[in-house]
Amino acid sequence: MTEKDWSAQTSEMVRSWSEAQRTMLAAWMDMLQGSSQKTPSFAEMAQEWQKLATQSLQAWSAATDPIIRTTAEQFIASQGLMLRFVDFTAKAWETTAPKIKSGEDWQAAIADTMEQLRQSWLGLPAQAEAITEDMDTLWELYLDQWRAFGQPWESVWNKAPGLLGRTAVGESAALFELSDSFQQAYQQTLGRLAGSPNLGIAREFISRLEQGFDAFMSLNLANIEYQAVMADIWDEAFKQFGEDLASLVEKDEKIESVRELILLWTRGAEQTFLKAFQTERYTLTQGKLLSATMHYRISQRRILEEFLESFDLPTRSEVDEAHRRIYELRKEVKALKKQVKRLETVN
Amino acid sequence: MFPIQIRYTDAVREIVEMTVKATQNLSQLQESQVEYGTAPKEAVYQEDNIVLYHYAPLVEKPFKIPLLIIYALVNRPYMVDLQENRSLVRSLLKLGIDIYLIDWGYPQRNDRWLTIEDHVNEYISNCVEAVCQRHDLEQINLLGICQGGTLTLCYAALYPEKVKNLITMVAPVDFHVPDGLLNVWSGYSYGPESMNIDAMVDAQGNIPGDFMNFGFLMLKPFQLNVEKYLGLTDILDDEAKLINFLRMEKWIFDSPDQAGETFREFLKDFYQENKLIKDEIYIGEKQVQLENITMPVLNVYAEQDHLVPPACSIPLEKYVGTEDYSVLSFPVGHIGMYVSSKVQKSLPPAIAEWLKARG
Repeated sequence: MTEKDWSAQTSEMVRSWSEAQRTMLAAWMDMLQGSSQKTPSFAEMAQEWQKLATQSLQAWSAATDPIIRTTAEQFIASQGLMLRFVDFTAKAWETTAPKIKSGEDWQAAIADTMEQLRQSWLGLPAQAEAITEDMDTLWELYLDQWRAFGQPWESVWNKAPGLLGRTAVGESAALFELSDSFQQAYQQTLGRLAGSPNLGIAREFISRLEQGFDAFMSLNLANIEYQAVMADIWDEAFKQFGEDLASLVEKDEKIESVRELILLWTRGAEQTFLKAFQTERYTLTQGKLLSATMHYRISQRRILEEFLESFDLPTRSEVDEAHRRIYELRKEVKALKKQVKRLETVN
Repeated sequence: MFPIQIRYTDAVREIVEMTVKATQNLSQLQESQVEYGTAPKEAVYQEDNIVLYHYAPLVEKPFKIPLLIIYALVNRPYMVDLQENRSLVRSLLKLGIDIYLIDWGYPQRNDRWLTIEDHVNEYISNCVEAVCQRHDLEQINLLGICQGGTLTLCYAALYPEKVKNLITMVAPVDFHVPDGLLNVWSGYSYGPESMNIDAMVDAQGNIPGDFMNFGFLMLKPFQLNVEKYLGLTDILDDEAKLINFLRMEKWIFDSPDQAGETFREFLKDFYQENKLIKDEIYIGEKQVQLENITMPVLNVYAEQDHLVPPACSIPLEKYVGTEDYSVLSFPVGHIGMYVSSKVQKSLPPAIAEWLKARG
């Protein structure tokens, strides 16, 4: 497609999308002004808008250069955030307006609303904590990850000693049965015909799985701890926002646009987050999560390499080792070349 | 009175209009318009991934001693030549300085084993040698920027005979300062518990550029992820400003992966154990002693730098052995040092004047 075709297509897409935006706005305003249909909530409108924007962006992607598209994605993501934030303030207004009318303390009402919203946004730590109380559930959760991959092999390895024993006493059908089992397992996992596995690998594999489970547990616990710390920081950020709003009242200042509202929020939140980020609690919790993530990744790789080695496929560790030897050889060659050049100069 | 006085309809209109405008204006641009690093240059030496560039002089007779710019590994070096009217390189070229620059390239998985020794004793050393041979000189001038400045200090301490004059710009020397969040997170106070470098390298090999970006963005989470894009709406009607914005976006997210062993050494030895100022850094078998830096030194730092706080750079004076030490600072952030128009007016002449006075 020529550049002109792309350009024309992009312009048409932008025109359609802009039109869709305006139509949506007009329809929503109609609804607000007394349509018989149920007025959609702000959150529903925000969701619809986000969906529309994402679909349009995907349609746009074919004709758009990467950096421009990435910037547009960032912009749309920040717009989505802004809509969510407007939704949040709309809810705050719904709660406070009647109280202001009746002369109640609007600041207390805001604090209540923020607490409710904080809990709905950040309910994850409490939910996640419940899971960790049940080790069996966690083990299941972890095994689920490997079950899809490993289960066919588990059943084969469990059968293998028996089948080989039958082969040894002349029952050749058992060998075919073993081979079929492997084929099926392979087709279900990697999809290729494999050679015979070593006996005893199941025990080593289970050991790797157990180590992997330890890493998985540590990661989950570190993540929960991190989420709990983040929840406290968000809590402080919400409180700061309330204080900033109160300060506006004292100065008799107003917020009259979404942009001003977002800026008020981000500036307060930035200070709160940066202060918290400097603390020992946050630093060590983040460090723990980072370490747990890396160890989990290492354990996952070890398990995967177990499979790959079974099928004579190169592993990441082997390739890294090969690169290391090439690197050392390259250094030697460079050093030798320098020496030769020095000797040539002397001679 | 409740301070938030926004009508629902106005809010939606505001957001929709902003988004429509952004989409319309952005859709008019092409990637080819987002140019960067446009000062003419030629590759004069290559080794593995790295390329040594020589910029085409803009004066008939450039200053006799060339200047080699050594940038950090964590970002692409075209920041020093980002655009025509914001280019440290072009400004110095116009002032008659003959400029070379090391482009570190994009490390691949096979570069995972490269060490700081490779960067200092091989790449920097060989590039200096290449420049010396081209100009038939024994010594040249060096300008090290950010992490590149730290590596340049190591080189100058090991090979002072090859360095005529040394400039460091926003370069960390003392890493154990509480001012910088990067220092805190990297292990200034709590060592490996705050950042397990060994696990990071063992798990990932090279440290992905995206991972580095994420870390840098988290240093100012709302300013860099939300406010910046809010500000975009102010410049949507100005194509030149929009392209400038996109150019910066390109540079910010164009982060190379970090060679694993180099990253391991730099974070553990420099950030966590602060070995540089304690003379405990060894490059190969040679000890790096900053007091061996006896050539003239100009140390430039940014007063509002959140990545390399002034407290990281200022102490250099205490450790170098030179008697000709100068310092220059500007009221800008880390990136402002290269792109602020005010700095671009004063920094290049200051550098050129300082170099020529010590020719």
